[in-house]
Amino acid sequence: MIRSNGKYLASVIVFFTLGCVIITAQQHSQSKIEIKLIRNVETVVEASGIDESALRKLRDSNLPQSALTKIFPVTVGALPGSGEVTPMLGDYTITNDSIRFKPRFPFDPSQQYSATFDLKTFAQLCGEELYEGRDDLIRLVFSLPKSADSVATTITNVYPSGDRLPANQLRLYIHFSGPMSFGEAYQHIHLFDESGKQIERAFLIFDQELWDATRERFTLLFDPGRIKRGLRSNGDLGLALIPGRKYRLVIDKEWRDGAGQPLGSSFEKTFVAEQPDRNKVDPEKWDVEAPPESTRVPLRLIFPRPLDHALLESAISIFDPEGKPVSGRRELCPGETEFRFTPTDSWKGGKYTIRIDTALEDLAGNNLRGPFDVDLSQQDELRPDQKYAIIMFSTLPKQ
Amino acid sequence: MKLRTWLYCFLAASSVAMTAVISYGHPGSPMTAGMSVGAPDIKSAGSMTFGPDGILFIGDSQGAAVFAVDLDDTTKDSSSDKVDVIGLDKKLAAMLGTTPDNVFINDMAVNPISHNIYVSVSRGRGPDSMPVLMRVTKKGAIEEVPLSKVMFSKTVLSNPPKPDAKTEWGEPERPMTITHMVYSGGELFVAGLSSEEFSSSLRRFKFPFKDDPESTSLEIFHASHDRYETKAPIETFMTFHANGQPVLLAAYTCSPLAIFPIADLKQKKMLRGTTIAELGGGNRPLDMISFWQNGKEYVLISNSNRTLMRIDPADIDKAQPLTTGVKEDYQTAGVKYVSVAITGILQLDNLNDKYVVVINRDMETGALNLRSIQKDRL
Repeated sequence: MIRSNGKYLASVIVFFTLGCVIITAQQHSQSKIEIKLIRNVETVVEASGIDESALRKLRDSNLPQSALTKIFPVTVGALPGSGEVTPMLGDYTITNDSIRFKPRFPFDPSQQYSATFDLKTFAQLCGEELYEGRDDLIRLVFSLPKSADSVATTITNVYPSGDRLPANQLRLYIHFSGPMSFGEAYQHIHLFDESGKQIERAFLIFDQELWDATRERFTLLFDPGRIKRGLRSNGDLGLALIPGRKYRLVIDKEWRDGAGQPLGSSFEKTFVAEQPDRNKVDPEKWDVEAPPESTRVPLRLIFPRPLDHALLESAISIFDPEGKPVSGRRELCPGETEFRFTPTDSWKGGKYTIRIDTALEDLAGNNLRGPFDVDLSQQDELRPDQKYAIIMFSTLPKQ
Repeated sequence: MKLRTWLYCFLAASSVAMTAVISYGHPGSPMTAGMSVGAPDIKSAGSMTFGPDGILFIGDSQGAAVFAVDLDDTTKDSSSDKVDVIGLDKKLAAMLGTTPDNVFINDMAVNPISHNIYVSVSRGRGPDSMPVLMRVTKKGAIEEVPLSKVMFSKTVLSNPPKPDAKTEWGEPERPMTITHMVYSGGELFVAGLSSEEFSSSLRRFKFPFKDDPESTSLEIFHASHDRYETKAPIETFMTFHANGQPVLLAAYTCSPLAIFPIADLKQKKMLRGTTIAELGGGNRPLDMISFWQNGKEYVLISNSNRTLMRIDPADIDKAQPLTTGVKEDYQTAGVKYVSVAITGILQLDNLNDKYVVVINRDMETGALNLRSIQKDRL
């Protein structure tokens, strides 16, 4: 009895196993096709779970890339939309069990994309009966995950840093912590008056925008047409800034950086406008605090009015009693009313020369040669064409 | 044994021949002498023009260089069909994986042999902006022209504007290192800005490229600004003729039209051109071509702030030099033109006998379209 039962049991086990194998095999062919984004050395989109023999047929048929684009198009935007959508350029690779798409240009972190696997077209092109009759579209909508250590770009400084500006202020410098994009600056910069009303046409707009070479410093010019006495704009609109009034400069955080990401936060600067400044910059009026000899105490130059932050970086040079240039570190104090120079080597005893480029400007664009805004009808003072102005100082005796 | 010897000789001989072919370029084209296969290090793909045998010159202002690329696109097309692509910016952006506001079309040039339309593009803004070369075929299909393995040669521009330099009007100078190029009579003419004192320059390179380019500094009378200028760059120019003499016809910003006799360009280091028209201030001429309509030749100029302008060469022949300024803003003077009622033309080139092809911003819909316009309607 037991022996016959054993045979019976053996057959059941065999058939059961065979059945399992058959069922498993079928399930494997019908296993879910899924699409995912893979980030390794390269970022690719992969459609996996496709039947291996179907893929083999596709590979062997040596279809051109344009055909593969019909099976597995990747497009910009969250939904493919209706009608024609042009697929992205890229390379398709067929592996043993997947089709991979590597875009021609890196995925843009600020965009959403759609990857669609068209099973019907796939079945047609590889002649695989397994998928015949299925017309599924398997789709993934994705965007690049923000990496944990990507820090948003921010505005680090706006110069002039003071909160009192002359009504004929010429320039503002906006400093960013990293490179910015170009093409959208002016829509993100606003000037509001005390009542909250936005002041139109306060700034000069340049198609190319005014950036330094690293695109981390943006120069914003107030429209001097409103400032230069007598030019049309001033007659029609008047000065953008009225003395005695308070203003608010706002920079939107929507301004995108070089990677297409918005800024970490928006920026505001409140200031009061003072009487327009139409006097030339006069080094004779500077307070020169000479350092003691044989020390490296910084030379301090204190200005009665703030000067232009960017120009101060290169306008002032120091020469020793023998006329040789002195190397050292330049520093501007907040408010741009004090310049400090710390020499690399100790000061010698004697008379030093401070050489100032006459193009050095104050906040209103007046320089050492004359005011920005010259009244030609009253040309009492011709502007000398000298490149430099000189002031001298002697080091203090050893303490 | 003898056969084997012959075989070895044959293989040796053909290897030598092959090497010779590879070193000296296409067996069919002496113009590819000096070229080698590789990936040109283009930093920005800007102004373009075609040379002999379908060779494409690409001006790279950021890299201060010009590349000559053999694209192997020399199948002659004798048809006179039109090509239209609606929403070119949207399609380019979709292919490049970005949005239209992140794609900038710099120039367009039609291959005179195959009539394929080439477009130089910048993808992205900021320091990571990437140059791309695209092509629109006669069927209106858009393709990338891969530049990772092509036959090319390169020549470098000396004294380009420094990266921080700005014009009097506050615009960065570096992107204007090369504003326009024309190939003629064995030479490539390159207009743009340099870092020299008279910054508007016209450089001449013999092609195939050799080591010393020649250049001429240019001065013209600018009627809208009422002064002689040496700093405004040429916006667009072409070789033409005036009273039977070969000249360069050049259009400047704001916007004088001047002629320079080509013979003088070859001899002088500094040349003052003859201003023959003021096309009107506040405008930038963008492209200039000559075309035939009913057996007669015309000049056609596209503009940033005006319509297409059509000029009769007979008026150029009769032109008197302009040496005094215009009295009011926007006034025109000198050679007459017909204002052809088509606006928003950002790029213009001849396509075939029947059509010119343009990239046009449609004023009403805002779409950017590539479209063909019949020459007998201009």
